[in-house]
Amino acid sequence: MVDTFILGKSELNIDAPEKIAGRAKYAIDMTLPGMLHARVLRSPRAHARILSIDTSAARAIPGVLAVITAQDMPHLEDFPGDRPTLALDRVCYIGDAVAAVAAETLELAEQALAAIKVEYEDLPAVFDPEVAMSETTPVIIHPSGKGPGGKVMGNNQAHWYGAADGDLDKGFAEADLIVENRFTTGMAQCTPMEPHVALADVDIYDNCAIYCNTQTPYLVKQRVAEILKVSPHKIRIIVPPHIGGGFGCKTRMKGEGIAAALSRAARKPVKLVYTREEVFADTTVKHPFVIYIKDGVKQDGTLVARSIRAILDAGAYTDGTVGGLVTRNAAYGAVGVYKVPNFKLDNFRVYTNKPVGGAFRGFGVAQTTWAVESQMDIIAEKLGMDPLELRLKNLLVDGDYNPEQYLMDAVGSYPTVQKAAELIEWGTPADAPISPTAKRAKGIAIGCKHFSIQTSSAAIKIHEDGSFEVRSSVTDIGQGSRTVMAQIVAEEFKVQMSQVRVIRVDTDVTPLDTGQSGSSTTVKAGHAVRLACKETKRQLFDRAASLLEAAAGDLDTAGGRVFVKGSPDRSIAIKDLFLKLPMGAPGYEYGPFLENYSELVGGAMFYPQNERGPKGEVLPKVGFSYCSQAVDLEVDVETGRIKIHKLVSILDPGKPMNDQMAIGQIEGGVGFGIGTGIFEEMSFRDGKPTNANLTDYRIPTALDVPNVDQLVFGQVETNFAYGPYGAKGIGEVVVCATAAAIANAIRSATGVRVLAMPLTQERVALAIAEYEASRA
Amino acid sequence: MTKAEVRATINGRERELRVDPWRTLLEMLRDDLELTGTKLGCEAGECGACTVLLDGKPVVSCVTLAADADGRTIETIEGISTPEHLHPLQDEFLKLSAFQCGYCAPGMIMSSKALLEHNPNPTEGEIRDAIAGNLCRCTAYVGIVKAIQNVAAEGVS
Repeated sequence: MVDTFILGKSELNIDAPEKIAGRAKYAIDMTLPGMLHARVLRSPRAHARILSIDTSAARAIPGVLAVITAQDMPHLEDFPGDRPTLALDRVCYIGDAVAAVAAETLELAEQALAAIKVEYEDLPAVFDPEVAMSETTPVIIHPSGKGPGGKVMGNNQAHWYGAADGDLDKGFAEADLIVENRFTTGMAQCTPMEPHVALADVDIYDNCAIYCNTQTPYLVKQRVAEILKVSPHKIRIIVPPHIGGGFGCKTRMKGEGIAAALSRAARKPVKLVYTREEVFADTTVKHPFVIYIKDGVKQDGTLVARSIRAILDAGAYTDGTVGGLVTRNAAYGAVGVYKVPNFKLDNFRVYTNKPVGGAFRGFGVAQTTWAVESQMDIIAEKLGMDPLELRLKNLLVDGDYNPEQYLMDAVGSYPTVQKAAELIEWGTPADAPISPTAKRAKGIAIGCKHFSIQTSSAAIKIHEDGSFEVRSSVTDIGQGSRTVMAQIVAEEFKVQMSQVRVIRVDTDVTPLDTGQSGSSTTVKAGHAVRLACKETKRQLFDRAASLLEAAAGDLDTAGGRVFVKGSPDRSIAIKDLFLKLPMGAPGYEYGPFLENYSELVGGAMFYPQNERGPKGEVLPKVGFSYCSQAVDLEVDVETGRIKIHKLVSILDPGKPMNDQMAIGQIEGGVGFGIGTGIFEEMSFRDGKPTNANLTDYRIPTALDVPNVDQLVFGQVETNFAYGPYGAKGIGEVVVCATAAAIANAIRSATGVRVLAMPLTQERVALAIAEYEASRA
Repeated sequence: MTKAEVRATINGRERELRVDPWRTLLEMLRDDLELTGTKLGCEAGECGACTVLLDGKPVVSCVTLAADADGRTIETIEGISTPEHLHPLQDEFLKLSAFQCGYCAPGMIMSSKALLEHNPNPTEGEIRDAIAGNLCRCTAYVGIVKAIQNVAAEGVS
């Protein structure tokens, strides 16, 4: 980034000093006087009718102050209307919330749960989405949604998204080679280290304050208002401000509604902290996919046709708009990188009696990328081509239209994959494996993910000492969005970071934002803060103009002073714009003020539909960021164990807002990519989770990731005209390519192609054993 | 129910508490003493967010009974620095921006501190072994391992 004052530089995360000192306040640390503790009773049945719920014994326990069921809060999310907050008359998965209690201690709350008697009548259940959508399905979980042509779809099909380009039949007829495969992905959990927390306090007027760790404060505000049947203005969402990770599963309402309903019933503050088991099975999970892909290619490697049919395992419900969005957005993983003149895609999201699929870092794109980037290597091998060469031959470039008719711009696939190839020394064989029973090779894959260009607003206040306050409802789940917002204000007003304070999210004070999702924060909050700075400057210059005897349009600001452009000697300190009464005058003790403003604060809304690009054009709904990865690994042919010798990850961030934080996203993405690529898979027996804990569900430990000198991270910049200061959203693309790069290396090393992800030791070992047996 | 008496030195200060015999050390620290720097992540000893030092050794306080701390010395994240002076590990973690969400940081720092006190010159493998029980979901442990290496290279004060 050229000519910036502070943007793009590796400014220290403003929250880091508090965090390393153990002083940072998270929702889990919040308490209120007289606070009660909540627990939720969850279904032990995968699918059952509720015949009766008897809470009388629970209510009779001294110290139990509230017991609620759906009778007390018959709430059903308004869209698409399949998910109650507490089960109405039926439970649809093991973990479905049935009742909740609030008591003086957690021990009493647990006693109360044990005293609630629920009578169930089992219903048939279904756990495989391909069975659930078949004509012979044992059960209809919910009515189906609408599919192609606006027609109601087949059994249990919640959502459909389709895209098409060219003439598929013609494309396949032209092809010299047709390659068909079926890929699958496992169910994963975001696994933030801080569980979901909601501390709700409802007063006698039904004003409700909730301290929580949500990624979407304004959405929670609306949902809680529905549950309490009060105006949203009575609901106040406060993030304290630190959040111990999110990655998707803290979007939308989780425990906040239940905590609020309990607090209203007890008229006392109620704190609900999810157990780790609840985080696993009862928040939201990564949709497992089954992906059928059929490609037609010419002998020279030109892709001429591609058809994809993806089946998303929805679980028991739809997480509001998220279910439809994942169904739609998964398509981006199939269209962002390659030219395909004849194309068809159909994604179906199908109900099963399992935990609910929701937002998960990668948002469907990680799953489709797994299939597409594995498939590219399979095609290359069949054609006898180098897999990198096949990729380069088919890349979309700036000015191309992708198969969904998006005009491609700021395409980063070429520079990222070239750089990754260079750093892994592509074309040079891997060194010999270290273990005598292992085989070693390299693999490569391109990740491309959309980031949504969403709505956000911000306000910037200038205090009487000339310092700045940022008000935004963007939460910081660890990636550093609070720091980046402060950097933008420091950049715009040319002041040091120490002059800028970002207040905590508090919906009574901080303005509307659409939540931390879809890698949207940098772009939307960046624009909102930039626009708010512009408005604040306008007010500031209006006030300074008469004192400096200049037109407001001729003024600029830096270092806490306003000056006339071109005449820096004609200037005034910002603090001197505030009226300071003489010492001893009535009122002087209360500090400086503005005689005709309540405060000097400029607010702005970034509403993409209102904005125009550099040439006056309408803003696109999404942009694309890129992250290519290359790996050098050995795999033990006896145990299936993978050892990574080198992993290169190259990101296109547009122009990074904060260099070190962008690298932080690449690093975290690698950790996530390795975890979801090699280890992580939620497992079930008849719908019952069998590994809903951090021992059996293994996220990478320090022993499971490559050593520090084996990880190579880099960035190549592209020119993204619609980003604030050229920045793209980057939080998710970094996780997309890892699994395919690893699978491609395993194939090169062993001859075994694994089509199911994650590439667990067991799965790889079995695949190698089968392969060896078939060759014997 | 008879309460258990706990006399312990916590962050250099003698404390006397009476706790329920089933109360965990984590609950005693967070709820009774309001030392909330130590975090709760899993309540099963799996994630390491609640790591504190008991007689200099790292323990997961969520599965350690408070009563077992009787007569012993406990160190938490709040006890290793003053507002003016950070522990060298904290300085280095800060310099390298080793953490993101920071939720694992207190436990990670306590495990690292115990390692360096026991083994001032650990190999990378020994560092990874020592923090293998402290899960971090935001990073790939790069800055964390480097920070510990740097502090070891400089020598702990």
